Amino acid sequence: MHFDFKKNYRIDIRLIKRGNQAFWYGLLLLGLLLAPAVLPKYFVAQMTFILIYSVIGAGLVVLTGVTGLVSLGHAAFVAVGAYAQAILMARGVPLLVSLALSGALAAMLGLVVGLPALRLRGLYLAIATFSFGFIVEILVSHWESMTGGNSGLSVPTPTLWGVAVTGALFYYLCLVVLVLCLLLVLNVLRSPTGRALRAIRDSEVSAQSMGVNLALLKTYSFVLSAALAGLGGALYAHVMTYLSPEQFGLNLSIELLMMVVIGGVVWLQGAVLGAVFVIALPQAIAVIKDYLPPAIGQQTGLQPIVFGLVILFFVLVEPTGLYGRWIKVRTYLELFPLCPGSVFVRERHFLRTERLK
Amino acid sequence: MTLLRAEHLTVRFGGLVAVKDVSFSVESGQIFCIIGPNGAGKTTLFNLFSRIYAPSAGRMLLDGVDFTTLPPHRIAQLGIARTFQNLELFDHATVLENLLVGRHRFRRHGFLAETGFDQVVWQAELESRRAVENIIDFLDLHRFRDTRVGALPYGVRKVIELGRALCSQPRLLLLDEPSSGLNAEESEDIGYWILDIKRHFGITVLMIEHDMRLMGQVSDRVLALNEGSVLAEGSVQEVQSHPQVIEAYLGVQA
Ligand SMILES: Nc1ncnc2c1ncn2[C@@H]1O[C@H](COP(=O)(O)OP(=O)(O)O)[C@@H](O)[C@H]1O
Ligand SMILES: [Mg+2]
Repeated sequence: MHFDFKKNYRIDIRLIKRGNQAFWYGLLLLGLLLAPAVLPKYFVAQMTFILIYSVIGAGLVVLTGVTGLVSLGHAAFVAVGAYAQAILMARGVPLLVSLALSGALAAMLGLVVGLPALRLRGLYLAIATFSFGFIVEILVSHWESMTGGNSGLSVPTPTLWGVAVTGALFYYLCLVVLVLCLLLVLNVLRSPTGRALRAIRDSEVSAQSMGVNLALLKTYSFVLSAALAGLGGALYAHVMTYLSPEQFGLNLSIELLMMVVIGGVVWLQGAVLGAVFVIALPQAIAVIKDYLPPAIGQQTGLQPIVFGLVILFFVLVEPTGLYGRWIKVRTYLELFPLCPGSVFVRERHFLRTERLK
Repeated sequence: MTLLRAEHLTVRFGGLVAVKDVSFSVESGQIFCIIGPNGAGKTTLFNLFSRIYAPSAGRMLLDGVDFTTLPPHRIAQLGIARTFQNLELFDHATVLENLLVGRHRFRRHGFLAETGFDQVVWQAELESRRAVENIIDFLDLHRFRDTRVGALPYGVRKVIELGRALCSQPRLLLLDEPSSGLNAEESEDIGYWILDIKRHFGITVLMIEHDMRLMGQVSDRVLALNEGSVLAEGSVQEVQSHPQVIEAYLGVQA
């Protein structure tokens, strides 16, 4: 058990709040840095995927978990980032510049989508973003001169100062991008803007009456989220090496949304945990398959079913996701044996009929 | 000096006229109380002042500045803060965070500065925190500082909403039934706080109140509404003894 003695206000604002946090995150970073040296190539490739998904997930956490806006069209931002990256690189734009441009292009699209989406909420927003994702998918498959249409588009090998950035090097590039993105988002979340976004999620009327410009901040949330998705997409293009429109359909949007819900949609850590889960699960299923009776193991569609069950489990039983569960376990261990069961009882919610009357 | 001025305000919802040609003025430094039976249009008036609704006719001025068509998020900037009859808190955030949102109108830096969290942002955050801690001291909320608001009892949540409005350092504070749902002891506390808000912070208070005792304890001036129109305006005694007010409340001819 520990106590926090807060001696000044800075402690509450700092990113690292306790010494042991610095230790564990430092250890994690060290592990990630050493990974390519000790792990087989295949693992490093999978971890690269996790890093990329985490970048995209961080954006979804901002939009969905923090601001409370659901997007079923996030694959479109990923697609724009990925195609922009492929097209820019093919025209000789340097790697880092084209990464930034791809993210910026997706951000601009986020602005275009964010503005009309301002008046929508919940299911209506989900439908609107879904349609947007669909439109982008169709545009990509029909704009053949740029995107290669349904026959696809190959992505040039990235180079930085004349060195081909592949394998372990590309893994490090993704790691740097992820760390920078997480720091940026953490800064936003601890600033007045972050608080305003959470305020919008919980009560739009009172956020507004405290001076929060709903239109501006919701748009900002869309733009930031789209930029991260675009940046993730740009990195994704290099892992895929070959792009085609169906990679960026509704499936991907749902997979991304599932990822953050499973991980714990209100925490950035949740985005990363969710990414680990979404990448690791198909591998786990592939391994387990061989041990299952053939009637089950050889079924087609085993993976979507398992995914569906997992998401159902989280929505019904653990809406705070993996990270929420971890926080509970950690609290329990820290307080042991003084922890009464009532600590984990879900909060009561007050009825909110007649909100303004 | 007149702080708030409502001139011939009218609000229609379809066929229903919720507020009918209401005019009044709140003097600076006053505690001004609006009373009236349920459905009289009191909350609708507040929603006009916070620009959630637009009046069908009439205009409103704060310190001579017409804000009838100001966008709702600019109202805080103008110096008006409010609480809600049925609590509109940020349930998933801590008490501290809720109060800090009250400081949003003092945000001076842009999005870019925030992504880097530079010194300017740091200083602004520390300053916000100091201001919020003053309100925490004032309302005695230390125990709950890091608790999630959704988990707190109703009485405390009510105080937090008051605190959040105070954090924006308003010139005019709108309180919608500050004592509803509270027990006698809690509503007595609220009464003292309202008086202190006027005395120590010099904030003008416009409040809606059902509890006649609390109303009598704090009000400098009272306005009685019924079915959207003004019945009477004056001191506590004048309004309480007004025959039409008694009739509206008791439903009998006085
Ligand atoms: N948004 C709305 N749409 C339609 N009718 C409304 C709306 N808001 C309030 N009303 C009606 O206006 C009248 C006054 O309501 P209100 O101002 O909430 O009364 P109170 O004095 O009890 O606060 C009521 O009849 C209410 O039903
Ligand atoms: Mg009311």
